[in-house]
Amino acid sequence: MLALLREISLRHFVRAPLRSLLVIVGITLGIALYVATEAAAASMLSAFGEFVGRVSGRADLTVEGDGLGVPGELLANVADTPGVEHAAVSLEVTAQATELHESLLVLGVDFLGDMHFLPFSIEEGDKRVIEDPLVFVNDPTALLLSKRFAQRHGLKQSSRIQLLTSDGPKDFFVRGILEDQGPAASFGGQVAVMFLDAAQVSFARGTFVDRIDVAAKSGQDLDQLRARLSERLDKGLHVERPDRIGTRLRSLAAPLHAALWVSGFLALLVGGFLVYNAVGVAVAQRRREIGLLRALGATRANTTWLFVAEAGILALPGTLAGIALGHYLSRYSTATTIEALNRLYASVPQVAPHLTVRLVTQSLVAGLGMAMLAAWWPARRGAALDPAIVLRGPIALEASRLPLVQLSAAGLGLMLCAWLPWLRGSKLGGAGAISLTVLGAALLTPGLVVVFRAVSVRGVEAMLGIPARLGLDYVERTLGRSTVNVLALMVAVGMSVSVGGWLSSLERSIVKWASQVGIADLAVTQGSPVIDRKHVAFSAAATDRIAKLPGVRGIQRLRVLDSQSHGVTFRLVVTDTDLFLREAVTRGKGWQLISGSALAPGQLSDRHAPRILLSENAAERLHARVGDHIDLPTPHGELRVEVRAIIVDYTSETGAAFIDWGVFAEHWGNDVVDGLFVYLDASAKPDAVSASIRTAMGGDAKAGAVFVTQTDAIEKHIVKTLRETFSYSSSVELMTLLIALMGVIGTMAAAIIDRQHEISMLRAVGATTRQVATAIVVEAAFLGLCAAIAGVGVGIIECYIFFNTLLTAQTGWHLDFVFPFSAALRTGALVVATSALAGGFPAYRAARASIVNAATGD
Amino acid sequence: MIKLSNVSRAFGSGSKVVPAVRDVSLTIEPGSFVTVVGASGSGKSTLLHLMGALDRPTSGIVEIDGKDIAKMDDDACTLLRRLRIGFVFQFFNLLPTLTATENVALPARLAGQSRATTQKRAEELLERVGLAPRRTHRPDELSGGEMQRVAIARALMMDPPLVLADEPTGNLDSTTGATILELLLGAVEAHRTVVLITHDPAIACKGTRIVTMADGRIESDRPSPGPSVPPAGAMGTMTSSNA
Repeated sequence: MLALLREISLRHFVRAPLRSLLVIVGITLGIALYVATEAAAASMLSAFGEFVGRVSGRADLTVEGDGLGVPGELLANVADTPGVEHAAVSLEVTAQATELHESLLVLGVDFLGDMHFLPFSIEEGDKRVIEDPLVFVNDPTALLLSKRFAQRHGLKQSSRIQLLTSDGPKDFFVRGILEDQGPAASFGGQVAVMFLDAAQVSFARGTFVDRIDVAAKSGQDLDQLRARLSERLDKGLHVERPDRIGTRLRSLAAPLHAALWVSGFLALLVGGFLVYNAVGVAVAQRRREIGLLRALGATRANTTWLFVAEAGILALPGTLAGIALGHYLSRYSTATTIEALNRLYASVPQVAPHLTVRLVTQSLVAGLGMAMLAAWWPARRGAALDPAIVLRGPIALEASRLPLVQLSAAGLGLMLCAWLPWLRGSKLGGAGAISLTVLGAALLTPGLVVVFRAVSVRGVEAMLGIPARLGLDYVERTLGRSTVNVLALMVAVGMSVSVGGWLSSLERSIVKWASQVGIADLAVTQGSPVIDRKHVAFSAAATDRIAKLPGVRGIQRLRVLDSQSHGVTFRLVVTDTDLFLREAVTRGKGWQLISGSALAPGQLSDRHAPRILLSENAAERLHARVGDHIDLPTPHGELRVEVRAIIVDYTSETGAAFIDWGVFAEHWGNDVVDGLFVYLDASAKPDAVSASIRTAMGGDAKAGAVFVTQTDAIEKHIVKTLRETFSYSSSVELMTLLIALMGVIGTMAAAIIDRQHEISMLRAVGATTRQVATAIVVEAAFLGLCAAIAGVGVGIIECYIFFNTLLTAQTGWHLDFVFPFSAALRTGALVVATSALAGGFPAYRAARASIVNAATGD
Repeated sequence: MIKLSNVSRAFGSGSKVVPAVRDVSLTIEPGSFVTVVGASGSGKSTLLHLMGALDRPTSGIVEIDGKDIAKMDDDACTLLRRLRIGFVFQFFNLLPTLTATENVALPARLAGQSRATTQKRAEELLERVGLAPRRTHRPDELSGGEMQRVAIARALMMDPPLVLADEPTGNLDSTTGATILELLLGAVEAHRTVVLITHDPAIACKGTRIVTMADGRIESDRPSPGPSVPPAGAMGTMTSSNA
């Protein structure tokens, strides 16, 4: 075996450098994507670990609340609970240092309370961090900075730093530098510490804090203490062990983690596909050699292992190059993932990806394993060749022996199974239905290729002549190999069309919804153009300033916070309902009702009989109908509200409840505003008012602290955000397509080797080089066409199933399905054109090949 | 007429050059039936390729109908083969997905003629080689002799003045080989030039002239001692309908 490898294989590596390169490139790409996605996933988990470490610190239990957070005044109650040794409030805000264009984690610390959880050491050697604590707590502009951040920006004692607050950008002054240890080293060292009261005022948190940290007395049973604390606290507040936070975060980010895992797996799969193709070419090229080896005594197993070992040897440099490339790419994949985490789930730091020994080992095993596994099937097929036939002379081409009827029947059966009712309504069922569809389509593909060929052969022959027909004939003759290519391309097309359908449907539904509810002239936010984890709320004073500006006719305040009822968490959207309904009537727009009678001003703003609107998905999750009552937790106990109507709304995948501003202000006692919709006087110029809003908020247009968006730009922004959200899947899809097309090149190369004799004969009897090239290009384009048609079909079915199972189960949204004409046409045309192009190089080589083989039979 | 003047053909490069044909000069008159014999590796197949414009000489001049093939571009050579030369190979070289009729019609289809136009002529040729009942059969449904008869019909599809046959009976039993030979003699009777490569001295004697190759050179070039007139039946069969 080793002798065969040394004497035969090594020479082939040198004699066929392109084929060797194809194997190496296939493995490199597959492993690079695998490493990049795995590193991103590992960084995500590491960021979670950092977050949990920061939050838990020395706490045994934490008290947290939905919505506004935890009222700070509860601290005394918690601290007095038997079994509690220490209790302290904690506030964390991700603030933007507007002039430095960076984010900082601002920790609000009660320096006058229990110092047990203090996130830094007061003494640093013989020097105190805060020279005069009294001055510090009395100065609302004082803060401490972590050493790393301060050094990077040249900030020292008394330096000025501008942060975006609820009253716009404000100047703060450095009163101490913290050693980078403990929580001060968290968030990538981007940490500032402020006195709690100053942080609450600066970021419009009122008297609320994020949590109360609790340290239990020695020997105290934590479950008992937890139960004791829960009894003392209002509904809407939870007592948890800190480690539960990590579990919850992991569960929240599970879809992101799953997407990363699927991307990595897919990358390995396409890499394997390339190896499969390259080994297929090698087997075709070396049929005579295989026949000779077999005739001279090599067993089938010897021959199979020879090819498998060759793939393994080539995979080694490919894997190493893939690890290096993947490490480089992981910077981008990690940054994108952490950015998504920050936007969606929690303030976690940007973690630099690390190439761990475990990941390197995993990649080596995956690279070598995948290459050898992918090589096994074509190697086995090659080893099964009858040496007598191979050595007799001209190559007898393999004839397809696929049991087409059985395969098609099984495929159709599986695809029909995907529509079974019990697969609806759950994520697992939805995933199963999509898998059944893909598997069914895979089994159906050989039959489809035969049917497509039969349907198109006459037309193709009439248009492009007999050589084109011979190309189609060859596809059917080597159906197994053709099918693998069509399948690979089909998966790429299906993915593209599915994402396209999902995006266009979501886009249409959301844009339609946004145009119905986004009726104001301007939308105003701080820190982020939308209300997400990066935005900064406005204080009541800031809101008033905007309301009084010339040209402003009215402002519709918006507050979005988490709430829960009967154990179901959803978004509570607080707004001025009367103003909205009045303005909506004049514009012929407003909330789209799913159930409930038409709405009029005053119906939601009655403070004595509070009513709310529920989004479709919230209503489903709460099992609530119009007229039902649900209890909402407020800082002062539960508030019973009536469901007035159920509406179309895409605010949140967890569902949303809409409540009037006045009702909220009375029962929640909070007047912080997350965003504003501004209605202008008829004579006012939007640009002029936008400028005056920025000025009023002290924002510099260049700093991007205050975002004033005109209505038509909101829709564009939504569409842009949606497309950006899908950009990662688009890049995976593009990569898949590229790799699948490399597979087409490999297949066509193998086809030409197989047909060398036939091509020579065609040339001998009068086929021109152009006619030969046409045959090859048509064959490649036909593979692309089959994949495009099948892929569009599969993509649409996948998209439809996704809407009716996974999406409904995940979000409760029912979107209008929009046929993705543009995606289908674009991807279909792209696949056919690039497949034809991929056939170009092999076609050129075929046309230039020597003709004399026909006569000699070599 | 085919004229070869001091033609050499070598393969490989540098120190690994292997000469296949060395300094060969030969003229083949129209309507003649020339057989080429020689041991394996003597250069006879290479010579045939040069005569058929399948290959180009390393040195010397190959003229077909007065045209130097070295001066013709690829398309011109292709047209020459398509319209003026019919090839018959040892291994038949039929396309497995085409029926017998389609295989015969292939050169005409490559020339851009329609299916309807070519079908009649192809079926006519199949009838003449005795394969009318097999016209819809594919190669894997035909015997070796039948496949070679289809190949001969294909070689005559464009009614070429020159037929080049490389060991057409080499893969067949003697009875079937005799049938094939009769068909080729019929082509000679129809005033075509036929050049046939063979190992078999008995078949070589059927030609009007025997060229013997050794080590890439012409060892002898002499008239055939034996009868060259084919049986009457075969002659009748292969008289061109277009002639």
